[in-house]
Amino acid sequence: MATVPLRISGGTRAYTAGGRHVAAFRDVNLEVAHGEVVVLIGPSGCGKSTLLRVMAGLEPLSAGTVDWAARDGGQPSVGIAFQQPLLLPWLNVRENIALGLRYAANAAARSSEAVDRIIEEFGLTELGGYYPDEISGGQAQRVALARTAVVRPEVILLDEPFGALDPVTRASLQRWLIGIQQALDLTVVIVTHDIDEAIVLGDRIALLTPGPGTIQRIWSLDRGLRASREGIDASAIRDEILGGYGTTSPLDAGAVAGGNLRNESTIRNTEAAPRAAIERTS
Amino acid sequence: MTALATGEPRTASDVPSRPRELAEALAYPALGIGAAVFLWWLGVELFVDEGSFLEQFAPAGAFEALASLLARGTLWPHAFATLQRIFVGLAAATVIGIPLGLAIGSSRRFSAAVTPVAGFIRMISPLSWTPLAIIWFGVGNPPVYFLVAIGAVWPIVLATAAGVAGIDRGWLLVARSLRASRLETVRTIVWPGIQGDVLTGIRLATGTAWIVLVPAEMLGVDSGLGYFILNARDRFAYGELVATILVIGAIGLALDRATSRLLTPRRRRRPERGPRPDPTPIPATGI
Ligand SMILES: Nc1ncnc2c1ncn2[C@@H]1O[C@H](COP(=O)(O)OP(=O)(O)OP(=O)(O)O)[C@@H](O)[C@H]1O
Ligand SMILES: [Mg+2]
Repeated sequence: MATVPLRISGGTRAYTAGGRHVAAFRDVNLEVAHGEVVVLIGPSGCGKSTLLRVMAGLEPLSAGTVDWAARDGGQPSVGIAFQQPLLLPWLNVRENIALGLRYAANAAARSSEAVDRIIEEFGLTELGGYYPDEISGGQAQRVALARTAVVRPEVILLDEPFGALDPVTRASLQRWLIGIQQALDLTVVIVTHDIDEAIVLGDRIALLTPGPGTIQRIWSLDRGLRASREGIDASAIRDEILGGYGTTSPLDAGAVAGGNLRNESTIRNTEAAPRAAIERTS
Repeated sequence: MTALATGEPRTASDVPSRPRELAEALAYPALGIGAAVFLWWLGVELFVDEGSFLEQFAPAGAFEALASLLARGTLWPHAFATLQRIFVGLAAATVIGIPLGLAIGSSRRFSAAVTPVAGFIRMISPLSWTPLAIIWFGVGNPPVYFLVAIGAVWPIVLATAAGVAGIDRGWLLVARSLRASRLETVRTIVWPGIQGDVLTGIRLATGTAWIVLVPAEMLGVDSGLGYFILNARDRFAYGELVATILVIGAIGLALDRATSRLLTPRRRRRPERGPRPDPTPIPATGI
C-alpha cells in the first residue's frame, strides 16, 4: 500500500541474555503514513530504541513482520539518528557530517554545498574543524543529526535527538525539523521523553507500556494546526500520558516469555520513577 | 605540573626557559651513557688480566675500531644489507599479518580455529626454523627474510585482531544505516578504526625483527652486521666485533625511535577557529 511507508505487524523483539529470552518490546502494531510525524513515548527500557533500530532495518524481529514501501513502491531510504551520537573520533565535525555522502548509495544527495548548508543550519559553523572529543554532548548530538539528515532520507528515525540541548537550541532545532519535514514531506518517527516536545512535533503520539513495551494508546493530534500548537492547552493529553506511564496493561501477565512474576514486580517498582521524571520536565 | 593538574593557566614563572629544558633533556641520557661506558671500562679493568687478548674488549679498543671502521666505510655495505633484509622481512610480515589479523578479529569461528595453532607457532623461537628455512629457501637472503617474517608477523596479527575486536559496534550500525556497502564499511570505518593498533603492531614487529635478524645473518650469508660479527671473530678483531655490536644497538635504537615517530597516528591539525569548547588537558602518553 503506497500510503504506508512503514508497517509493523505483531512485532516482537527478544534477546537472549544470560541464557534467558528477554523481550525488548512485544506485539507492536504500528503504521506510519507518508509525510507523517509519529512520536514514540514511554518509560525507560520499554524498547523504544530497539523498535527504532528494527524500523531502520538494522535488527530483525523475533516475531511479526515489518514492511517498508517508498512512494513509488520501492524501498524507501531510512535514516536513523541513534540515542548516542556515535561520531567517528578520527574525523572532525565536518567529515563526520559528510560520512554518508562518501557512500555510493547516497550519490544523489552529493552536492558541493550540502554539507556547508546543514552545518550552517545547525549552528555548527565554528566547529567544523573540531574533533568529537573536543565538542560538548549537545553539539555531538547535533552533528549526529546532521549526519543523518545530509543524505536526505525519505524516512527519518530520531532517538531522543534533542535530549542534551538547551531550551533555545532545542526549540530552534524543533523548528528546523518541522520546516524540513514539511518542505520535503518527510516521514518522521521520533522518540522523546518530553511530553511537550511530543505535542509540538507529533501528528500522532504512541505511548508504550513499561518494558517489554507494546503500544498502549495512540493520540492523533490535529494536523495542520501544528504551527499554532505551541500555544494549545495540552494538559489533558499530558495527564493521560502520565497516567499511561503508571498503568500496567492487561496484556502483561504471562503474555510473553519474559512476563513472569519477577518482571511484574519490577514494573511496579518502577512505576513512581518515570512519573516524577516526566513531571519535572513538563 | 601542579598548574596543569589544577587547570590553572601557567604563570610566567612556571614556564621553563627553552635552553634549560633542552639541557635537562640531554643531561640525564648523557649521564646514563657515561655511567654505562664507565662500568664497561671498570668491568674489563677488574676482571681481565694484563696482557690478555680480552683487553681488546675494553671501550678504548672498541671506539678505536669503530672510528677506523667508519673512516674506511667498511661497515656501511653490511649495515645496508641488514636494513634491506629487515625491510623485506617486515614488509612480508605486514602483508601476511594484517589480513590474518583482520580475519581473526572479525570471525569468532576463524579465531577459535586459528588461535591454538598460531599460539603454538608463535612460541617457537624463530631461529629454530633456521635449518628448515635453509632447506626450503636455499642459502642467501630468502631464508633470512623468512626468519624475520615469521618472528615479526605475530605482533602485527595480534594488534590487528585486537583493533578489529575493539571497533565500536555502533559505528558499524551507523555505516549500515547510511547504506554503506561492505567494502565501504571496511574502507571508512574498520580500516581507520584499527590503524592505530596496526601501527603499534608494526612498531613492536620492528623490534622483534631486529632481534631475530642479527643471529639469522650468522648463517649462510656473506654480508650484514650479523655476518660481520662472526667475520671479526674469525679474524680475532675483537675491537671490531664490539664496535659492530655498538652499531647494531645504535641502529636498533634509531629504528625504534623512527618507527614510533613515523607510525604514531597523529590527527591532522585543527584550524584554529574559535575557542576550544572543552579544554580537557590531553594526557601525555610518554612515547
Ligand atoms: N543488544 C541487546 N541485547 C540484549 N538486550 C537488549 C539489547 N538491546 C536492548 N536490550 C534490552 O531491551 C530493552 C529495551 O531497551 P531499549 O534501549 O530499546 O529501551 P528504551 O525504551 O530505548 O529505553 P530508554 O528510554 O532508556 O532509552 C532493555 O531491557 C534492554 O536491556
Ligand atoms: Mg532508548
